Amino acid sequence: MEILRVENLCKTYGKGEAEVNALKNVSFSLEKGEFAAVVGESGSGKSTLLNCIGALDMPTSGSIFIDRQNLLSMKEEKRTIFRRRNIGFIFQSFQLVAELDVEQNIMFPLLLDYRKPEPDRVDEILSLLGLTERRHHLPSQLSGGQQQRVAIGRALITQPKLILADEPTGNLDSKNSHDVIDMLTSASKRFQQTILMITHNNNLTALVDRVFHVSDGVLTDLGGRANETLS
Amino acid sequence: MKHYLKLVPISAKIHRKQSKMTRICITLAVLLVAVMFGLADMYLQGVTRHQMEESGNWHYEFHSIDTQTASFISARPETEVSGWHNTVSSEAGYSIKGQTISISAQERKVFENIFLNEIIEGEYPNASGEIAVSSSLKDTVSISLNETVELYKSDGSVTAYSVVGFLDDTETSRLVEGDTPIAVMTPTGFGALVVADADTSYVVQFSRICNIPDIIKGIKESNHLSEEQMTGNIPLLSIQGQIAGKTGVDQIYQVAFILSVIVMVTCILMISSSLNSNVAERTEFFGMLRCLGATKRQIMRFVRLEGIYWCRTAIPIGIILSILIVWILSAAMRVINPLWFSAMPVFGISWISIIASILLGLLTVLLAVRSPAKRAAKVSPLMAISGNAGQMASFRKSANTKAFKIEIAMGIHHAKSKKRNFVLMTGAFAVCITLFLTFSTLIDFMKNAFVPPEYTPELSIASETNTCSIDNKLLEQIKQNNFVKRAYGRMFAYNVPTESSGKSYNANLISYEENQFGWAADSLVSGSIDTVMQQENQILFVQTGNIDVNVGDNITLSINDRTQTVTVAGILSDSPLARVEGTETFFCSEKTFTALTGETGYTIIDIQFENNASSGNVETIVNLFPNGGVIFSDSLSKVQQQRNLYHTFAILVYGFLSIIVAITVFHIMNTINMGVAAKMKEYGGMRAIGMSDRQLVKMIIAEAGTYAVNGAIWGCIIGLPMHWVIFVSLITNIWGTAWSVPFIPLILIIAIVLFTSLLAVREPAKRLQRMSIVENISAQ
Repeated sequence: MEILRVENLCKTYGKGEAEVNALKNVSFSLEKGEFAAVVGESGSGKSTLLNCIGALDMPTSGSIFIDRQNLLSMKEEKRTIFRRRNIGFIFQSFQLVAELDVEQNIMFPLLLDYRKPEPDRVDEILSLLGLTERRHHLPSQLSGGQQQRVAIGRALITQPKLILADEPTGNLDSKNSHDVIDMLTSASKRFQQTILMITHNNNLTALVDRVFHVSDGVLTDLGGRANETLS
Repeated sequence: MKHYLKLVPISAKIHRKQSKMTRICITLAVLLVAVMFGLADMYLQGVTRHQMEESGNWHYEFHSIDTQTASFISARPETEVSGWHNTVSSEAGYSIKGQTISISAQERKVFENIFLNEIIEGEYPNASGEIAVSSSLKDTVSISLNETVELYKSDGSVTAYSVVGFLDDTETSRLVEGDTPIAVMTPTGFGALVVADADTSYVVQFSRICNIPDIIKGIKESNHLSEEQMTGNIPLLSIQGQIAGKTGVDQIYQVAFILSVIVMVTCILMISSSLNSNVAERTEFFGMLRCLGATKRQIMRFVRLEGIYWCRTAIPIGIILSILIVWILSAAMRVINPLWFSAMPVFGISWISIIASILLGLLTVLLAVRSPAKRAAKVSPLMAISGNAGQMASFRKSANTKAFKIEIAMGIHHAKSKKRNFVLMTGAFAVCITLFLTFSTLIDFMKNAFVPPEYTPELSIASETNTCSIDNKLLEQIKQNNFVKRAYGRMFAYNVPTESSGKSYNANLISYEENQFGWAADSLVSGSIDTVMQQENQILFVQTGNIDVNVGDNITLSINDRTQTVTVAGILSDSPLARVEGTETFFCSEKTFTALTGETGYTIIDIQFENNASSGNVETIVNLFPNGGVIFSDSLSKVQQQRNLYHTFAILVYGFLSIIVAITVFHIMNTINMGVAAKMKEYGGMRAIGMSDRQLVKMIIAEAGTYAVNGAIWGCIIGLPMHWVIFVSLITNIWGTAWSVPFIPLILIIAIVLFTSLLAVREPAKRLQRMSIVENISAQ
């Protein structure tokens, strides 16, 4: 079942001589439960692609369908609500809310939706992420790896159809990086969630189902289990 | 760049936009202080001028001293002008051509510089046989310039004088009390007249820059003078700050001092919170400086110098703006009240206000930068290299998401979590409210000091015989003039033998009509005024404490040998007409009065004119009484002057309150704007996770609302006692009006604070909405 479809996505910054084409006619799709990685050099357009798919930024042209719904044709308010219910985000710099504790940060998207979080579900995620003991700690009391685990928990709580992760291991050491990827992989398998992850770490691409390469705004599908291809 | 502090102007140029608010705050502080001192200066000029016009520009008057003592006083370096002043009142029986006159004898310098009079035609008498007289004598007894007139004494003796000049009639009350015409002569001429019952004194005007109480002490000791021999012009000395003790003017100074301190505290809080946000935005910059080896002391010096650097432009702008505002206000005051403020310069510059504003501006900035400077110095070098500087470490408790919706809980938590910030913000809101409340006492002061009571007549026409001798048809004729706003009469029956509850006493029975009954309603303690107006034989009783009367009691009156009974329909706490000790006062309708006494004419008719009325209109009314038998009391110009003064003062007071409201509004807008700017990245993260724009606005409103509500509570806690202190010292001590909670200004300022806080959210919220989430997250 197709969860994400991107069609002829273009994003242009600036005008005239300063015009930069960050994305050039990008098209691809992802199936339910698929774990895909986007690789590419700095400034190649990876983050722009992820931001456009997550509706954090508006593309210049093209279409994005998530669960067959056209994201870009929605009005701002509806798109925001759609995003918090259907897309989970994981950022390199975690973007946790400093004044909320671990449990509250994880429940945050549900609270924004004025839904009452199920305690069992919260406990399950806390235990999956190994944060049960630290559920009432503030982000400032956690290590980088723990903070990223909270960010993953927050992305999982609404059981979104799509998780977008922008270099989730960029600020972590190798052990924490592996832990995070393991968690994402198991989530993808366990909850049948589609994950699109940007990474610089070629070793991580070995763990994903599909790999895309972005260069100068052009996306190339490198297919599945691509470490051989990349090397 | 030769010194690390040279980085200040470079950094200021780059961070120009961020420092804009701080610079505006400094400008406002300087503006407020300068306008306050400028206006105080103007007010003092007006009051001083008025006081001089009331009693003359003299400081001390010495009685029963010899010429040697007088010359000793005159020779003192502090003495500006001095001289003998001899007066003879109109009661002494002196006359010229049958017209009773008063006499005032003094040197020309005393006449002009101390009593501020002038000869409008001819010249000041120079020899003992010369006099100058009031110009009204020109017409009333046909005196012309250089004519020789005979001055008759009460004993019938006559002295001839040559009239060498005419003086302005309106200014003579400073020379001799009363409003009879006056003859002015030299002291030598007065000596030749040989007057037994003259009032002689030696008047002195001292230099403004000397300490007059010390000089007086010296004069008293060296000449062995008693207290009774010296009279000070206390109101003038008090205005000029030459007197100690609890005078009304002293209290005004105290109030001005308290207000200045509150203004300074407001500005310190404003600049401090603005600078705090500025420093918070540049945490990484200060971290980087620390990384490169700057010591804490150097960082503090850097921030302090930044504050002073901003003063370079902010202070002159504030001063220029204040001068413009003072010029506009001066012009307005001159137009509205030329009598009091015509002496004020059109484009005057108050050096006191400029110096005070520079000093207070610098002091305010130096005090305000203390806390941000310390904060900047505390930034650790690590902050510069850890991407999210200062973002995580500052929260100690998590937000309460159970009691409120998430966005509200976070808004409240944002406001409350950082204690120092919360105290600064709430404090600034509270100080704005306190400032408004304390300044609003000036409105009550103004009303008490300058607004004549509603019932004040501008022209009163009273029966010469104090009887009901004024024909009531004349009242109708008066009312027909379109320049008459209100005209109403009163009939009086004096000392009516009265009996109630077995007690006999005398009472004055007075008739009222609609207007007067309306004004009496404010003093109604019990009963009803309508009953008195509509039913016959009903009266209002004025409480004196001598007689115990209740509503419904019957009172027996003996008028024209007839005994009649009236019923008390209402009781008044007080009345301006109930001032005769031992006599009770009753008010009734005209119909009742006529029924009781048989009289239809009025004892007095009071008239209030339309706003643009002139003395010509008074004349028209006077002409309605060609047969005399009445006494006119014309207070039109006095009441108009009082009203003008009220309008002038109102401009100042409301001008100030507007500035305070503007500062409050600006400060709230600024504070909330800066708060949003500081959390831009954080908001971006929340938006990315799914916070809608509406939720974002609600969150910012909750934050702003938390500051506003807490600020309002603290504003009441601090502001109401302050209001009480100022009210008691400014109003209760002078007029006796009791303090009460100032609900109207309180509700007004709280509404302004809450509404502005709500409005302040609009712009930053719109700015956030215009930004894409990606821009939002990457905002610095």
